[in-house]
Amino acid sequence: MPSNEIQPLLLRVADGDAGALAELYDATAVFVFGILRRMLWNTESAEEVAQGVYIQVWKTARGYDPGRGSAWSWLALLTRGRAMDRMRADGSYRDAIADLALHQPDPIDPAGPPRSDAAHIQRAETVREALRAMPGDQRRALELAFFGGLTQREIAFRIDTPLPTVKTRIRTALTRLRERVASVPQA
Amino acid sequence: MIRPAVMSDDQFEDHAIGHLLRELDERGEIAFQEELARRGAPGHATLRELREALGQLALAVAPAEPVMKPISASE
Repeated sequence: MPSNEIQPLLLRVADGDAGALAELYDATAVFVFGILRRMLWNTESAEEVAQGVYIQVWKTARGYDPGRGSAWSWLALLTRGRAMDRMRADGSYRDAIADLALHQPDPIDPAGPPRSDAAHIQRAETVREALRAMPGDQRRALELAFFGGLTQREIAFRIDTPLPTVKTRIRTALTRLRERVASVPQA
Repeated sequence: MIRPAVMSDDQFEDHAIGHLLRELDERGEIAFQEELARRGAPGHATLRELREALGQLALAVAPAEPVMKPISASE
């Protein structure tokens, strides 16, 4: 499914269309599950949290505002939020995940997974190119912040780096990404 | 009338990132929302671009795998 085609589905979900929720699920579950696997490192946990993601989509889709961003980004950040809730509910689990993320040799896999539609392939490849071109310390800080679920302060502590440096790395990395993403036409 | 910004651009972006990553405390969130209101459309555009970059990051690098049980909207 091309990138923007989930927006009408999400808007139908916001209107209480249960059929649209099923269609949205079919169109996005692989991506949602991928984010959750990446964050939780556990298929069973990812499956559990994924159920919660779609329940939350059903309950909060009315709050989605197309003027504030794409439906994909809304869903991706909602998914991350549910994973964060899961991590925070169990501090030791979160610590273990953070350790895993910290000690992975190259947390963001620049090769990435294959995608099934042209729009996603192009955008994903653009993002991966930007990641490949990024200094490793910036890429790692971004990974730890987004997928590792660590605050910037926690990252600074764990990698023994001043907080302002960590913030600069993440800000610079995201600036590069947003410039690249903005250069790719919407599908 | 456009009010003068209190934060530098870098500070604003740091706050925007903290907002999107859900790591601002209450005080930080209030400061961010005030600055966002001050900046108006350009501030919202920056926030939107950062949100989009994070969303695309997630979609681009998260491993996708076959999924899982069907859901019910009535849950």
